[in-house]
Amino acid sequence: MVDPEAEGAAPERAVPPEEVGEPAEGDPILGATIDALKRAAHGVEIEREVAETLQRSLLPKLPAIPGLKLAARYRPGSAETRIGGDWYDAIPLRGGKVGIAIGDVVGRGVQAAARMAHLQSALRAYALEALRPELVLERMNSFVLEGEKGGMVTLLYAIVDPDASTLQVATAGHPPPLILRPGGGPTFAEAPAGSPLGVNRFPSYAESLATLDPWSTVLLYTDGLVEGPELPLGEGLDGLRTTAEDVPAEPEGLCRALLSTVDSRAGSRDDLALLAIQLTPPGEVLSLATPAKPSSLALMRRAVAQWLRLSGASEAEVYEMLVACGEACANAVAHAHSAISDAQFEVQAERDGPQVQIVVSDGGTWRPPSEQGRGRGLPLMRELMDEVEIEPSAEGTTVTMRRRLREGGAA
Amino acid sequence: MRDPLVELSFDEVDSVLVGRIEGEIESINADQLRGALSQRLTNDTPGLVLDLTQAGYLDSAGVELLFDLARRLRTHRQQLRLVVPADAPMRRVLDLCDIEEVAPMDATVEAAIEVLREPGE
Repeated sequence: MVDPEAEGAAPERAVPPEEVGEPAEGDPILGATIDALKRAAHGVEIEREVAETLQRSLLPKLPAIPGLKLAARYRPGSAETRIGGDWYDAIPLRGGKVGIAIGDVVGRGVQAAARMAHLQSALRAYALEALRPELVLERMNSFVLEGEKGGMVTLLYAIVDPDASTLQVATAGHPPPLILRPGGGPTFAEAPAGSPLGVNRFPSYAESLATLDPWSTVLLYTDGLVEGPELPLGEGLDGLRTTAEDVPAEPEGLCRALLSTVDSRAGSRDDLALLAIQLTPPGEVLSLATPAKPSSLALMRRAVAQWLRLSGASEAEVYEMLVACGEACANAVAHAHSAISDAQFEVQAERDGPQVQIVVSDGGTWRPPSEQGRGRGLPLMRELMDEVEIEPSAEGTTVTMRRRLREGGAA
Repeated sequence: MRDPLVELSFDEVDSVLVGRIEGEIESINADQLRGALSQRLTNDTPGLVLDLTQAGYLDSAGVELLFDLARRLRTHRQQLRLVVPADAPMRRVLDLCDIEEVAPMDATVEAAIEVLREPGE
């Protein structure tokens, strides 16, 4: 968002026309003026670079979450508008949910970028408290009113729950998310528009809940995508929906396609941020490779649990097989620990009739669990599964586990 | 106390310490959970009630933590009681590890406190 009040840093007054006169070589006054002008121009360029570097370095690295695919883009504004304070974020929450946000700070240059950083930290803190979207916005509003200097901020915060396939969204003056569903036209999520942050002491933010189908994509964007000098917001939103009918739902492809069309549609010079998130439920065969780090374990378990549920296992079966698989994965991570830093481990799961087979393999050497203070792990695995085979080899260790699902489970 | 996986909170009911664990207990956080729980133990409580109702996952590292905690309490003539709902999938895992030899399970926090409040062994 560009603040119409804000001035560009170009020093118009530095060179009044009468001082330029006729270009006389060796004129000391003119020489000094040209030098000053060059320095000022250089300063503008440096500030622009600093602002852009700051803005880019502040934007988060998107988390890798099994069952979800994310992509995002940030594009700075044109030379006149320079960098704005658009930002996006994706924050993994407990229970496999993800908080997604997109915001727009009025202002330009380093100040807007710095302010965005401030707001980004506050948002993360509130999101990690597992607050509902409307409460996150209420607190962000107080944060802006009480501690912040600067103009208006719009913000949208939503929670995506891949297990329940839902999107819970609230917005503070920000345009609504666009949902792309497989086999249906794109629609905007209903999101009661609350006032922008920092405007109202007693804002009322309401949230809406949308159900997502598997492979649906949710797109968050800033106004640079739908508003321009020649493009009123309403037309821009219609245009976005129409454009979205012919673009891929896959997040990377979606971002690329929208960025390539924005100039012709919006004629926009504003900066622009996009965040797309797609539900990618596991297929019949689950196949995942992740870094052999302790932090991968919870993500891996989440993916396996989701796959087991979709494969028709009961909650008790999901839990028990998850513990067995979790033990094998924890061992794989422990083995790889001392080895190469980019070591990976893999989990493959498939169902053959009533039988589920889970294979965990790593590049490390099998050590008896008792050496690792995990003496209960292997016996537990054997109790919870029908069969457990451990095959150590020079290349690594493979643990194969099988268990028959009880009758009556959904196919 | 909270990390991305687990949240630990405490309550005291009739001088019985009640710890509630929400989230997932695994090798990555078991040691720190053990530390946080041990720190809160005092000699003047009859024991610790650990509410696992909202603990969605617990592996052998978590089971080890429970055994350690129970042993530690025992040396001070205190008892660890676990709250695990009767139909919780976690029960089978805890049963397989014979947890009740050191830490009996109750279905509710109230039931666990009731037992600990009764004087004598």
